[in-house]
Amino acid sequence: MTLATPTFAQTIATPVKLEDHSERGVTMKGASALASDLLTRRDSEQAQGDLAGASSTDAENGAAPPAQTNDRIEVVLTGAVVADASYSGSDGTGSYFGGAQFLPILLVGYGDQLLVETHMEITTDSDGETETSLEYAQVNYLVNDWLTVVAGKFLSPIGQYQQALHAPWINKLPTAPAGFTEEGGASPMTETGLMVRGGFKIGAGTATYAAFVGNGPRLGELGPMLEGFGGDDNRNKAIGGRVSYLPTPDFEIGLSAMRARILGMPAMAGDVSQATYSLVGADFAYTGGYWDIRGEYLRSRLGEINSAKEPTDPMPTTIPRTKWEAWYGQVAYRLAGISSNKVIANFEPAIRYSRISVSGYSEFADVQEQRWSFGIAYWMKPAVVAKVAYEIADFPSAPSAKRLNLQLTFGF
Amino acid sequence: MKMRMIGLAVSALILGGAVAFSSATLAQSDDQTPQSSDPMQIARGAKAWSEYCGRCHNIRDPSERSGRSWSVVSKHMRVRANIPGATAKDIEAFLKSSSND
Ligand code: HEC
Repeated sequence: MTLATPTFAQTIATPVKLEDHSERGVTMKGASALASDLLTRRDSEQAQGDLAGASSTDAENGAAPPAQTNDRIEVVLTGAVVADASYSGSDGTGSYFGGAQFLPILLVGYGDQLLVETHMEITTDSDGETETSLEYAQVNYLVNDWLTVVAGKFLSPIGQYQQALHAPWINKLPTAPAGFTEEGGASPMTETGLMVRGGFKIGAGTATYAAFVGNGPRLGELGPMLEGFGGDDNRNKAIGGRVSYLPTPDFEIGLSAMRARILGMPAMAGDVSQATYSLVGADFAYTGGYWDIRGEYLRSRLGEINSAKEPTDPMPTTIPRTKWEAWYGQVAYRLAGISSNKVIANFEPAIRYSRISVSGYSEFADVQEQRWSFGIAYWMKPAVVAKVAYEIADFPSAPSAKRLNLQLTFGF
Repeated sequence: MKMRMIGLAVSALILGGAVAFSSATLAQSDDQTPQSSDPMQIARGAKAWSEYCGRCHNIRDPSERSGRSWSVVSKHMRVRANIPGATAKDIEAFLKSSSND
């Protein structure tokens, strides 16, 4: 690979994390090197009349070009395989190999403007059962430069963890932050409905938006289930979204909001009522140099509601107004910033504090937790990672738990 | 009731918008295919790739995938990360030009 001329390199001098020093030498100063190398290669190849290696448009590929490139169908299978193990000295569960997960994503592009994404989650749990769930299945219509219309079941655009970091080959720690999990969490996971989203330049920065209308959450025994249901139990739609601004590409600040009406869980007899659920949130991410610093705050409330506490309740009862607050702060640093040693450079230590607090109905408050996570990741490839983390979790109503988590993730 | 009305109104807006835009953009969709032979576009794409594609996860090497695969994945990421279309097309051109085929 030829090196970029200094002037060209300087125009692209943003330091970027380098994942695998052995792979093609693609350092990020090498983004420019790659581009200029490529241009040279293309020129000489064109001179030789050999276009196959460097160019990729159909017309240039030598294969018979289809008359209408805009109608081409491309299928891509991607995703991850994850293996977890956990050891705890204090909570009696001892050590175990946790579930394995296969998370296939099927992408189908149809021409330039249509993209279908489906994401399955196939999991073995500790009882040896295999569970399959559909995390999302969405059709994206890329209308223009700043507007995409999405229909189906999609990751909630509220906050940043869910849509940007949840994938196990992305998350720097083996676990999700407290409060950002499925059961009893405060962070919306998925939504079923319609969404518009996009991004555009404003001055030197970039602004993004996402807004949805969906079936909305349902009430469960641990609180609102913030998932995309394939039907609506009350005929009120949930609305919500997020806007963000990136003054520079390595800094983003986002604001989210959501509002829905939630129906009480039906009991054996008697009427249940509806209550308003509302959420606001803010998040930020700084990813300059070798740093990855993030934080996210969510606050939600559900009004007083007449509902069963469990599906077997003979009659509904009044569940008082409840408020949730969940947040985390996380700092990670890739050691490539201080060492050019191939092994050391691939380590990335991370520290996270996360917390969920609930006030109001006591059963919903069972999920309260504050947790420290100290982890270190070793990146074998950009999406192949081994992680170890030590976590200390404190619960208001139970003894604190200390746990060592290991995770091996292979993203492809 | 109020929420339902808002929900309906927003759905109508989204659908109406989609239809209006689709008719507008279908006509011009020919120039949406990145011309990966344009060196300036590739250079712009290389810069944007190094700035945007390492924000959420480790930056992925263009040689990991074929050009066809990148054309789908870059759209996936354009939607996921709300990357402005013009920038995403530059990145797509760069990724294809350095892909493994
Ligand atoms: C907003 C955060 C974010 C940004 C910015 C981002 N990605 Fe991703 N990327 C993800 C997530 C999350 C996934 C996991 C797939 C999923 O959950 O759907 C992913 C997956 C991928 C994959 C695996 C294949 C696939 O499509 O799932 C590749 C390759 C990839 N990204 C490349 C890129 C490139 C190239 C860019 C720059 C154009 C980029 N990413 C920018 C969040 C991001």
